[in-house]
Amino acid sequence: MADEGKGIRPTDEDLIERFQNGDLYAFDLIVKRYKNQLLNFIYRFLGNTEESEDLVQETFLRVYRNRTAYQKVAKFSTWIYTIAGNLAKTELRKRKRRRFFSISELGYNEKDYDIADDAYNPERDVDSRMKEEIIHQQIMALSPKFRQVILLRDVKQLSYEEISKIVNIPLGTVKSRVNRGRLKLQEKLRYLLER
Amino acid sequence: MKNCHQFEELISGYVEGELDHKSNLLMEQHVRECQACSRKVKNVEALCNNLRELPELSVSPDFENILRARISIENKQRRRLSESLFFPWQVRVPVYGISFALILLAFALVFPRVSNQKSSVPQAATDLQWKGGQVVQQNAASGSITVYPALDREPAINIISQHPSKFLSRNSEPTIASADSTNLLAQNENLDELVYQTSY
Repeated sequence: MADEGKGIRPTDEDLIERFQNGDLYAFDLIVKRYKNQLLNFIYRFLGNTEESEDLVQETFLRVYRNRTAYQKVAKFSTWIYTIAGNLAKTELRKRKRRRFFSISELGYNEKDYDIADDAYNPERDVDSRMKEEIIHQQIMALSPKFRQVILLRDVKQLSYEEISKIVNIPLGTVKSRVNRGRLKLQEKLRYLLER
Repeated sequence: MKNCHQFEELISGYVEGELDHKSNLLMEQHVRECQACSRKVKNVEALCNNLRELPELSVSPDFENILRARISIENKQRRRLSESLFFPWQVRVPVYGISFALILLAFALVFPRVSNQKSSVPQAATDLQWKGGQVVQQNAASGSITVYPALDREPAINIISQHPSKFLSRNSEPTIASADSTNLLAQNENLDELVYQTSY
């Protein structure tokens, strides 16, 4: 049987099938693979790290509870990103109803989150961090419909076809939104990008 | 002949190499001739690189432990629920029967008191007050107060919600003379309406 330890990397679809058949270790592997990916996606969408981590937990709980609902006709990543995206959008709607706005939503909040080891660079200067923060703020300033597709395409590097399934809009609309989102962002970030 | 706005729509396709040959050539020519579009193309390329290189956050170290704990709690709750639903009939029938009987008894005991209370509470309750955890009506003319001690449930809540400014919190001290058995004037049969003398 395919096993991570022996160097043969099972596909996501293999893992979910094993999990559906009762292999809880397969679920653990799914969590390990997707926990940071989902955190980054939801964080970049919502802007709050604590809420984002809660939603990542909730995403995995839904995968656990509804494992039999996944059918192999779609990619597993499509399914899990759809769950995560729907949770994030619901949270955004709740926020609008609460009319709650926090400065921490604009960027990193006080909770100490580690950067993943392979990306951590102690030499990274203050300028780089400020640039990242500004880019993040401008992503947050986009309307949710552009923000979601930009994150999925440019941050998560998903294909247009997969994004179309996750967001449930036609392929042409995805491409148009990505283009318009990028044009809006590059206009706001001109002074950074043209340096 | 396309204008800048039309070429703008092709920028992402051009940057990602997804345009057909003809559109690609047209775009290349336009970018050579139009400074504004050329700048936008360069900016979109730089933007895509920056977005790709945004640092990745990691979940907190106890993330997986918390998730496992939540799953464990859910599983226990689900097991408890299924156990309670699937007791043998010899257990379920008497339990459901007793529960139903208790509910009926509670309803029989409460309902007449509630309806009596409703009939004894004045409809024009403008002088009702909530003091010390009870609904109280001041009778200025006779110098007495009427206390409805049992009105601590729905009728009282309905009255309070109609006249919020009249009511103090449950912990507030009464501002009129306290009513106790030494100045009790009268009480009705159900003991849900007692009249006290407060001025002499």
